[in-house]
Amino acid sequence: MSAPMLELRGVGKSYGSRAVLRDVNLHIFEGEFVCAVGYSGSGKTTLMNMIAGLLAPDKGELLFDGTPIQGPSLNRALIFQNYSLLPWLSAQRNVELAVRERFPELSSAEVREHARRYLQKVKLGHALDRRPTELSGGMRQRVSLARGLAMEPQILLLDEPLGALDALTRAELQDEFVRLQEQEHRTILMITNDVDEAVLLADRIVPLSAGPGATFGASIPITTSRPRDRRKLNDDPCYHHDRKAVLRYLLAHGPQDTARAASRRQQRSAVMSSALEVTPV
Amino acid sequence: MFGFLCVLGLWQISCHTWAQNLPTPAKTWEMSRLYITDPFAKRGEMDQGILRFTWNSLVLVTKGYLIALLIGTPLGFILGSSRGFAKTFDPLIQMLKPISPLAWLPLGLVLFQKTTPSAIFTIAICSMWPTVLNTAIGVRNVPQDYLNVGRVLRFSRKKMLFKILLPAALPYMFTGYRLSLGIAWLVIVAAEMLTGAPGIGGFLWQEYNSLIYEHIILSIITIGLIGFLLDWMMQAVERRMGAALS
Ligand SMILES: Nc1ncnc2c1ncn2[C@@H]1O[C@H](COP(=O)(O)OP(=O)(O)OP(=O)(O)O)[C@@H](O)[C@H]1O
Ligand SMILES: [Mg+2]
Repeated sequence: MSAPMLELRGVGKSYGSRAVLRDVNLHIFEGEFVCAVGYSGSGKTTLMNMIAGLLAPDKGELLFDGTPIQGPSLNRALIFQNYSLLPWLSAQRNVELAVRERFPELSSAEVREHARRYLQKVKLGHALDRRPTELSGGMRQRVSLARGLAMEPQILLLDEPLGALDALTRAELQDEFVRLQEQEHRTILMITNDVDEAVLLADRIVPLSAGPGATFGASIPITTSRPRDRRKLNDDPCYHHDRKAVLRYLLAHGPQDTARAASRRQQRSAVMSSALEVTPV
Repeated sequence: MFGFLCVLGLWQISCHTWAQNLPTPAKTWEMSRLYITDPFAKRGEMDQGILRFTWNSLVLVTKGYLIALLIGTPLGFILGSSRGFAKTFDPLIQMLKPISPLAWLPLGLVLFQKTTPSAIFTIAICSMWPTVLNTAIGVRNVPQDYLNVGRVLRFSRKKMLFKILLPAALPYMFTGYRLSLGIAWLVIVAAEMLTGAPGIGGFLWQEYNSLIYEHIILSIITIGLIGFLLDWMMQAVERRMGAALS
C-alpha cells in the first residue's frame, strides 16, 4: 500500500498539567472511512483540532501527505461538533463562503451553483435562503456537512457530527452518510461516541481510551459487508462481531481516575457482558 | 397618556402652591404657540421657530456624533482584539468617561478658539465612550467557533475582520451607537448654554436670562421629545440589526 495520507506519530497534548492525549498513533489511507470512537471528554475534539491545524501538539508529529501539519489547510475540512455556522448568513451563503476560499478561480455564479449543488446533495435544496436560526438541528448539521463536502477536501474531518441530534434524526442522517459515502468515496475521519454508528459507517474503527492521557487502541477493521442497511445489519454475524470487538476495548479502557479503578473495571466487565447481549434496533 | 395627564395636573397644582414663578400649562401654551405653529420661522438670530432651533442643534450633534463613531469604533476594535491594549487603556477610559461636558467645553474653547468646533469637540469626546466600550465587548465576545471557521478557511486578516468580527460584533456596536447618541443629545444642551449658539439649548438659556420662563418649559419638552424620537429610531435600527444577525 502507498504512504498514508494522514499519519500521527506519538502525539501528546496537555492543557496545563492535565495530560489529555498521550502517544496517539494513527494512519489513514486515501479513500478510507475511519471512525474514532471514545468517551466524552477524552480529548476527541482536541485531537481533531490538531489534525485541522487549529492547535499544535506538545509532543509527536502530525503528517499530512508526508509533510508536517503547520496550520489549517483547505485540503483538510473540519466539520465542527457544534456546526459553527455563521448566524448572519443564509445556508447558501455559509457554504459559498467556504467555496469561494477553496476555489478562488470560480466566478460568483459558479460559486453559487457549486454551493447549491452540495446543499441539494444533503437534501436542503428547499432551504437555501434560510438562516441557521430558522433551521432545525438536523438541517444545520446538513448545512455544515455541505460546507465541508463542497470544499472537496482531500480529507474530511467530522467531529461528532451527529452528537447533538435526537435519535431519529440521527438515524436518518446516518443513512444519509452511508448513501453519500457510496456515491463520493471520500477520505473521512469521523469522531463519534456511538459504537453502532461507527460500525454502520466505517471501514475501520480506532477506539480511544478514556482520559486523562487518552490513546488509541489497535484499529479494528470492520468486516460488515457493504452496502450496509441498518435493517439488515442484525442478521449479519460480522456486524455483531465487529461491534463486540469495539465495545470490549472501550469497556476495558474506560474512565479510571481513582484507586478504585480496578474494582470498577470488574463491575464494568459485568456490565459489558450484558451490554454485549443487547442488539441494536 | 394617563402619565401625561398626571404630570399636567401636578404642574397646574404646583403653579398655584409652592412654585409661584412657574408658568401654568395654559400660559405656557399661549406664549409658545407662535414657536410651535410656525416652527421653521426665522425672526432673528435668537428668535426662531422651535424646530429650526432643533434643526441647528441636530446638525451640531450629528457632526460631533459622527466623529465619535468614526474614532470610537476602530478604537473599540483595537481595544477588544488586543489584551495588552485593553490592559493599558481601560483605566484611562474609565477615568475619561465620567468627565462632565461642562469640563470639556472650556478645554475645547482653549484648543479651537471658536465656539462651534469646541461644541463639536465636547459632543464627540463625551459621547464616544459607549461606542468604544460596547464595540470592545462585542469584539471580545465573538464566539471562538466563528473565529475557528475563519481560521480553517484560512481567512486573511482583512477577511477575518469584515466577514467574521464585524458582523458578529455588530449588535453590540449598535447598542453602543444608541447610547452614544443619547449622550450626544444630552451634551448639546449644555454646550449651547455655555456657547450661546442658536440652538435649542442656547434658546433655553437666553429665555431664562430674558425671564420668559414659558419658553424654558417649551424647550425642555422639545428636548425630551427629540431625545425620545432619536432613541426610538436607533432602537428600531438596532432591532433590525439584531433580527438580521441572530
Ligand atoms: N482550551 C482548553 N483548556 C483546558 N482544558 C481543555 C481545553 N479544551 C479541552 N479541555 C479539556 O480537555 C479534555 C478533552 O476535551 P475535548 O473537548 O477534546 O473532549 P471530547 O472528547 O471532544 O469531549 P466531547 O465528547 O464531550 O466532545 C476535557 O477534559 C476538557 O476539559
Ligand atoms: Mg468534542
